[in-house]
Amino acid sequence: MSLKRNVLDLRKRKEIALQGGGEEAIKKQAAMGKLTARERIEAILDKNSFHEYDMFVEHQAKDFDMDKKVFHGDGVIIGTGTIYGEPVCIYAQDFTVAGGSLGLMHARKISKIMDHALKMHVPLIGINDSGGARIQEGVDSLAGYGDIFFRNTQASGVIPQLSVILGPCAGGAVYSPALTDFVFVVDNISKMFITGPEVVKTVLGEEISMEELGGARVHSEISGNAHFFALTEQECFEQIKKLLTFLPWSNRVKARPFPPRNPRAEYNIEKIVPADPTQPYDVRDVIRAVADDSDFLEVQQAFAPNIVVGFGRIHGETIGFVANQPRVMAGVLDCDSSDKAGRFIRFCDAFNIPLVTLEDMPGYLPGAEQEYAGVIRHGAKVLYAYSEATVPKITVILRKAYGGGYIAMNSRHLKADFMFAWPTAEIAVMGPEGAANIIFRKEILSAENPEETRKAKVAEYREKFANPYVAASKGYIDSVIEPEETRKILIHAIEVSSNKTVMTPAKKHGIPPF
Amino acid sequence: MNEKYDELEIDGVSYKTTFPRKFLERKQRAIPAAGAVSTYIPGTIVEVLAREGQEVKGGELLCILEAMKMRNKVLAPVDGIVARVHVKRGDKVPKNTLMFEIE
Repeated sequence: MSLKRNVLDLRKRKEIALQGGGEEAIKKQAAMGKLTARERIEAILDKNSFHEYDMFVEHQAKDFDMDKKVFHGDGVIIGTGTIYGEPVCIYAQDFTVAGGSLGLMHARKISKIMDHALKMHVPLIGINDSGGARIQEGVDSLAGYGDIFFRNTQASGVIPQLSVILGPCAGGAVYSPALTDFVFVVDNISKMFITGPEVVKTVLGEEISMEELGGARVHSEISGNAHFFALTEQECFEQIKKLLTFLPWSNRVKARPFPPRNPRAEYNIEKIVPADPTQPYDVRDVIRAVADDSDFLEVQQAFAPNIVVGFGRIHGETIGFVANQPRVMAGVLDCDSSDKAGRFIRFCDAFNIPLVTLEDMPGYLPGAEQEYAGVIRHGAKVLYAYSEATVPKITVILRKAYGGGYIAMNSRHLKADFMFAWPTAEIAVMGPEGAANIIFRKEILSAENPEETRKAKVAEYREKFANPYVAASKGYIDSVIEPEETRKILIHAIEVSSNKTVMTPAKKHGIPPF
Repeated sequence: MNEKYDELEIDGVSYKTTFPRKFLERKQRAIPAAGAVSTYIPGTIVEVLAREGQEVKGGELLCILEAMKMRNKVLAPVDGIVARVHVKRGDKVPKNTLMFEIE
């Protein structure tokens, strides 16, 4: 007998499994504007590179007539493939099969591919599209979630973990994405919440739509749970691939270098920043003026836009940029922007990505609302993250560096490797107006013409302290540079820092102010 | 840039800048006045007992708020005079609605 019969039998079995939830369910998926799980995987990975595992896995539940139901692959697809020729592990929940609900075997498949990713030191991409726990399987499905969360945590800081939300992701399920490094959402498709609109209505009497409660825009702009927002699934896949070009495959290696390229001519660094520190500009243009090919991939673009974080390259090497954004809320630090920066800095540090900080900020956002929201513990995250980071850390002070903000934004005192300042830099405890009002209070109040005296004192303070030279005279600033020299100096600083080693005290782990 | 700028004052300096939606729509988290009585649950006002100008003792019944099929007594938190009554019988009120101000 030849093998032919067995091969034909295998092909038939595969064909059945590949049908997923069947034609009707696939049509429904398409009607919602969604691709199927396999289409998504194929769109992200290199052509024909996907290899699927556990195709024949089936659930083992018996209660509630479950033993009479067949769910092909138990509602999730796992496998390996390549992106730009580099290996990745991937899973995609299949909403067409039992609503992508998570039962024991479904979770076991996800855990299997996660274990593989961690062992092989390759990135993990998880596509979420699931109605939630499979209630018929009871505590087994909860156990399944727990197993996944544990693995997310174990893999954190070892391999990059990307979560792609392409459908509902509700209840406990949201915590896997929350534990990963980058969350991708698509307008009108992604829905994330702990409790859905019905529960909100019953308990609080508030009517709210799914989109308003946990849509892609909400998580990109308000909650900060998402890092990348796209209008279509295809745009989302391009973002995933683009992000991966900047990342190392694990914490043991560096990101692949690219051929160095000059910034584009339209970003003229001399013309971007106004000399008057109260005037706004877009700090992303400064990043583009120093980054290779002016290419900057912004992370969490719409959330806490008063700080800008993201990836670019300098002389071919991946750099994590952190920059105050004077264009939004004058670039102040507040709870949200501190969380955003702190997390990004820790990602870069874990994955050997040098940090370049561009500083121009007037301080922290004042007000009861911020104090009540815990700006003390949130703000402390920035200090913690910068202090803890051992990758090369370079700061360029463009204009304002006042008070606690000066210390927080990767200052010499938190062990920055290089501190550069433009001649427009003002390094002081606060702006000249505020400082003069306090220091010369008596003189101003007792003067014949208080307003004139005040102005004179402000001018005096500005002359004396609102510059980079006081800090430079104490060695807190290494070099005052012309704006035009910035890129050249950054290239040099990164080059000479490439073998940086730092001894840190032995500890199990620190206790950052979560 | 043809953007319209707002001003944000920090330490006596006014900066030209913009505000994102989350900031503009933020909840003001000021400490409520001791005599302010707000709903702690959404519901319907089924009876109002306190009148403007009336003197009340702390613990006195101000109104009945029906919520989740329960009739909840709303009591005066402090002694004082009812300066304002913001609700009337039959009002459907969301959470955190100011009902009475006692001075």
